[in-house]
Amino acid sequence: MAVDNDDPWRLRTALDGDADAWASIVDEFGGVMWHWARSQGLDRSEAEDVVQTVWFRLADRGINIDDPRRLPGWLAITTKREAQARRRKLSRASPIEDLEHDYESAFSGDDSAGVGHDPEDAVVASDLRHRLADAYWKLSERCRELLTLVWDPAMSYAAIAETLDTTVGAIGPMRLRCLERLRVTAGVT
Amino acid sequence: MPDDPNESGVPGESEFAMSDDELLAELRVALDESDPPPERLSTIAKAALTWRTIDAELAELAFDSTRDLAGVRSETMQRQVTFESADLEIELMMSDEEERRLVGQLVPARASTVVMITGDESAPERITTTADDLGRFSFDDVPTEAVGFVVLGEDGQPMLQTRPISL
Repeated sequence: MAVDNDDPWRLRTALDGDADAWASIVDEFGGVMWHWARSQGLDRSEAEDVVQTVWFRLADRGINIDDPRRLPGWLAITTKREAQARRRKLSRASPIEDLEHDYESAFSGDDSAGVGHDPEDAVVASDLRHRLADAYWKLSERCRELLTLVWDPAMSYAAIAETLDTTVGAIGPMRLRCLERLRVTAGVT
Repeated sequence: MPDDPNESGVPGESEFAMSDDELLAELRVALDESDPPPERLSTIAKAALTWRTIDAELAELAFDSTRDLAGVRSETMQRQVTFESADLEIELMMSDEEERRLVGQLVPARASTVVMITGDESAPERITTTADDLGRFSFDDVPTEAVGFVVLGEDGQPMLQTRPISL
């Protein structure tokens, strides 16, 4: 299908009621939105509420997005604002669940995750990924946020800068610094 | 998992040659594996477009403390309401008037997505939360105007809907 440069994700079509166009937007951004919400220090249940609320807001209010090309940025900043609003409420109500514990329990379920055809290759890959995931949660929140934003090619530096409330020129150096910390912490030289 | 040529060969060797882009891609896989989004999230998000307002058969208002307990005097008691459909009940109560915090319970207990619909019919806004395994849920900043509630089934479609009510 030809890509409409003015609306590359077919947002207008989706909001007109086209279920397929809507589903492909959900498939494209759903995973990354989840990691954005989690990078803000929300537990799994809070992150789920946040991402759901953003999808409903897009369905209800997305027609107000002036330029459909800005969809990824809109999703990022709306997810962040909603996550921050939740966090303010949580900090009033009860302490946030221990992320470390949350992370440990995410791993304890299935030891076979990451096992491929060649056991030795699989152990290397799985070990690397364990170390990366482990190192990620030891980074500053700002680095976690940045890394989950820059890994998506759809996100422009302008949109990332807006989400992080900084300048476009600051993104490149931050990306280098956070990746370096990730390498060091995970022991990937 | 597909074999990745970068990961074969001498154990650990591939890590030394990893570019920043490869590292980012590997991080994404690592997080998707260790902290995957709940599956129902995508189902509910996809269904969000296909229903927008309350338009199906409404659950019956089975209990309303202001109606059914009229004359029972209690200065601290908040309004409690229960709506029931064929196989599900939803109980609602304002637990904190100042914060406009509402607590609710699904009976029988089920871990469903619950949606609060605010605003007028021409421009509704839907706020969601997820009931826990015991069927408990809550909403903050509930408007004083009438709001409707919808409980979603596993397919993301409404399985119980209430008429708008002000609590």
